[in-house]
Amino acid sequence: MQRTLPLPKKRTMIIAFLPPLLIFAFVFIFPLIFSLRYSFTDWKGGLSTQFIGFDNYKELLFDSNFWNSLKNTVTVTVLVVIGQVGLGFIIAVFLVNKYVAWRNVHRTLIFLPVVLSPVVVGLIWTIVYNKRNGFLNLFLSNLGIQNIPLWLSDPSIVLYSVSIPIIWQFIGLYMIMFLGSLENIPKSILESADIDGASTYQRSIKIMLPMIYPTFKVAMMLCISGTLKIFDQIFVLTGGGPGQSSMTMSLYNYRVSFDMMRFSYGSALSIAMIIITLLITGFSLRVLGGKRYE
Amino acid sequence: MSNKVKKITPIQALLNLIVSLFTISCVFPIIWMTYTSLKSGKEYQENILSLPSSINFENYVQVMRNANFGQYFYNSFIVSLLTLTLVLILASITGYFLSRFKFKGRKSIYAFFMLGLVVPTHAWLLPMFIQFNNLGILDKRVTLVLPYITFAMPTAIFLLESFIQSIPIEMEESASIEGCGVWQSLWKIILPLCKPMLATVLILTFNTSWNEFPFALVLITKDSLKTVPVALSMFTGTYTTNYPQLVTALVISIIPVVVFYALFSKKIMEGMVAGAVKG
Amino acid sequence: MKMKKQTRMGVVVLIIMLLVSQAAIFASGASEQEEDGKSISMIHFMSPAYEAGDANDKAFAASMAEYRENHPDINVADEFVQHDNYQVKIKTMIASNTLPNVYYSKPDLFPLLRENNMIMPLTDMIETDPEFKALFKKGAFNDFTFDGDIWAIPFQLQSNHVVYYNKAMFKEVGFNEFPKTMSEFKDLVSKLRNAGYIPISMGNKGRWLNPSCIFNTMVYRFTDASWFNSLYNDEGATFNDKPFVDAAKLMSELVSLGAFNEDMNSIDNNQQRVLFYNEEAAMFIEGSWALGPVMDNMSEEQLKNVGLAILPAIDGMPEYANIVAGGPGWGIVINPDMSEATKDVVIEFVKELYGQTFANAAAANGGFPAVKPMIDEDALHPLQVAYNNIDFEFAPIFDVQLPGSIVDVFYNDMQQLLINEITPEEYAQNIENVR
Repeated sequence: MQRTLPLPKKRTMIIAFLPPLLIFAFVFIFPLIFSLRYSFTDWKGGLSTQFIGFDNYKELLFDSNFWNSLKNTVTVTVLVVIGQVGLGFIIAVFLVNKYVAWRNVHRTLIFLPVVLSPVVVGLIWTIVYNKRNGFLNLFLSNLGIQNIPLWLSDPSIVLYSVSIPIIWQFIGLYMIMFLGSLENIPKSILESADIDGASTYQRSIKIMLPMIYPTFKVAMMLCISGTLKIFDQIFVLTGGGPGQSSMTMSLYNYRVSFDMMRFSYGSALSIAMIIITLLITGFSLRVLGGKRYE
Repeated sequence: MSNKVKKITPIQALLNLIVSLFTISCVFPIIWMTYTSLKSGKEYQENILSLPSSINFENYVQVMRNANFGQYFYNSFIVSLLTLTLVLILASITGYFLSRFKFKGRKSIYAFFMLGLVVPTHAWLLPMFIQFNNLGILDKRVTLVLPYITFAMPTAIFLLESFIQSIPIEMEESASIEGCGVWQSLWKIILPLCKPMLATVLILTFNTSWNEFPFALVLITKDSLKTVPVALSMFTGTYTTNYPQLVTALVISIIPVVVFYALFSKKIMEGMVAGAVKG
Repeated sequence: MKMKKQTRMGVVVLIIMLLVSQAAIFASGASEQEEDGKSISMIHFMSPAYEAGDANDKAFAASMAEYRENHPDINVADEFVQHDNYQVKIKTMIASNTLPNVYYSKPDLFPLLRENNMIMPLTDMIETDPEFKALFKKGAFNDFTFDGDIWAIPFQLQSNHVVYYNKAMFKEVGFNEFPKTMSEFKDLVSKLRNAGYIPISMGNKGRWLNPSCIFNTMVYRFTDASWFNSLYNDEGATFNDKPFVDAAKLMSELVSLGAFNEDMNSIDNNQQRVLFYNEEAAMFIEGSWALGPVMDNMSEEQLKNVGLAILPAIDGMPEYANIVAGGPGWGIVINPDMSEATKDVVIEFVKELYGQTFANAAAANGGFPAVKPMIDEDALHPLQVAYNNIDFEFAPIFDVQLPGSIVDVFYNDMQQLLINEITPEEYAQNIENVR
């Protein structure tokens, strides 16, 4: 158990926690109760609703589109977690290496995409993937590669194609987090590793990783929970297509609610989504050893 | 580490190349947008990547003439700054208390805030509209601040809480013995050490509230209160979009975020490099 | 003991949360609008960004300015929401019963709106004013007439299907005019492909383009509006019927002939036109709204080579040759929830807004208004004349009439049909399954 400070007065605690809790309750609880309530009805947006018990949830169990969207969401999340946290870490390690020139310039600029809006990112990557004059195809065809796949039209690779922009955009955020904790590793430890003749690779794995583990955990949790509800970038790039092949849970929920106008079923989907996301994040926290709050 | 100047090995050169390529990819979008905003619609169609044949500010003139951009910028600024201030205050207090004190219900409170990380935005649109409508708080200056705070807080608390965990507790312990109160410790000891993380939270929060679209679309009806992202959508036509014009509007809209980042990125990097916290 | 304290804390938090949320549920007091017949609320998707706008946007701006000038005492509070986002906003408003006095809707929402008394029959408004009624083109109200009542005022009347083609490329492969039959058309497609062109550029990323502008009319090559009406009114027709399946098979066949660009599901309708402008594609198929952009983006020299047509008849079925999916699409509807005084003002407002001024301005900017425009025919561009000379016979647009749950599959599965993920029969069956 980590060390803590003596507990302040009760009044102090209330002052500290009440305002944010009230705002949270205000913004979260009503929509949650609302969704829960309407998930048991046949509401389609009109004034009349009928209670239909668990019918929406039964439908959900057999809705292949929903399970497909869950599968896609999990796939994208795995790819994005590996990409963002993994590459974020690798680039952070590169950037503490003194053989890399202009380290500060790199640090500043790599964070830049984080501040771009999803619309901008979508627009840019649509151009990257463009078949005729996109960068990627120009680059690959200049290398003499033939049979370049249709990045956003081929169902077998579209999930990878939509994950890459998401990864690219947020590498900077994780890089910054890792840089912060890497810089905090005492120089003496790194130096002793140098004397022992440990290679950079071994050094980073054996020494850095355990020391930045808390940061790693935070990064993982942020990344997992953020990606499970991913919407904007995929909406702009493919809208979930072709067919259902890049449809994520958020996108499917949106389609059900606002395209099909089945608000009650959309509510049931929201509830299911929250439960699934909580289960996955909770499970990840357990795996990562996050029992700090016991 | 030894200070001997070594010859650059192929691996080091490769390292530099990889990092440089990645950095270029991160800057390119802004460069592309900037020069595309100077192109005409025809030039854009002929080649998306080519440079403009001549420097031409026609798009800027048209965008500025069409849209009441000053008003939208002002609205976005007010909403973003309000959100920012409240998130920084609330999240640093919450993060501090959660990381430094062990009390009953801490786990529940922590979990409650983390719930905010898993909520799908679009599922909240309709219920929140109905709630705000019943309360008569649609179309107010503060309308958007409430959801923005709520959706920015979990990340902020999460980041700050774990950052404060990594700060040694000794200073506060001795301060506490000397009679220094909780708020003083937070203000005088913790917050100065948190600067790099606060700067990160600052930029993330400003960025999300500046770019947020769905809530701004649904909760605000009055044109005089609309924010920049909603205003940008007027440049996407029903069936036809003039891309250079849209890109021009996008360029104008990202200036504040980039300026904001330029102002605070130094803080982040400084804090990181200085290694303010020794493990 | 420990457990108990924890629980108590939890209970306290829960009570606070419930109190707050209950306050949210029960508290009311939304500010009521003044109901003195002096203010009108409206939501629309006519972009105020004048230079970015199309014919309708420009006509709306002109017409609105005129109304405001003529009625300085009436406050029109209009909200613009971009077309693609409009459905999110309008559906939120329907669900929370907060619709403004005047708004736009497609017939797919009419059943729900009628059920909840959020839409007003406009038959009286039109029949009691023969002068107003006479302004409109023939059949303008057809798509908005249900159970003997007219429910919306059309502002445009256009074909969802026009084939824009490059005459020079056609000549190059030996076609001096647009093919008269489908077998000739397929022959043309193969020849264009062999000549190295994209026969038809298609941007179906938004999912609606192919179903709405191409496939819908393709179905009308095998049948007519009576089939759709039977299906719509549940009078026996199904999506598994031969005409629909045959059309899906024809679509598949065109795909296998290489009629479309490979990346059809990842470019949008703007990009499909660019391929045509840049003379990489010999044809593109879109609604009449694309005529304006074509004229704006191609040089006069290029425009001389542009021809307009519609998909040719199937061999042996010449009776369906002129049917295309077309009509007003969106209509202006009025929310009956208002005082009598306001109602009169609103009706007058709608009549003025979508009358002659709107039509003239729309036509002058290359649009296709529902009201007959009074403009100088000589001022028209040859392409506009060519468009006016096409012998269209409008039939219902599927995705405008059918409910969202069917349209979603109709759109989505077309993307899969186009990449051979599903068969034509499966396509039909999948849609039938959600009917």
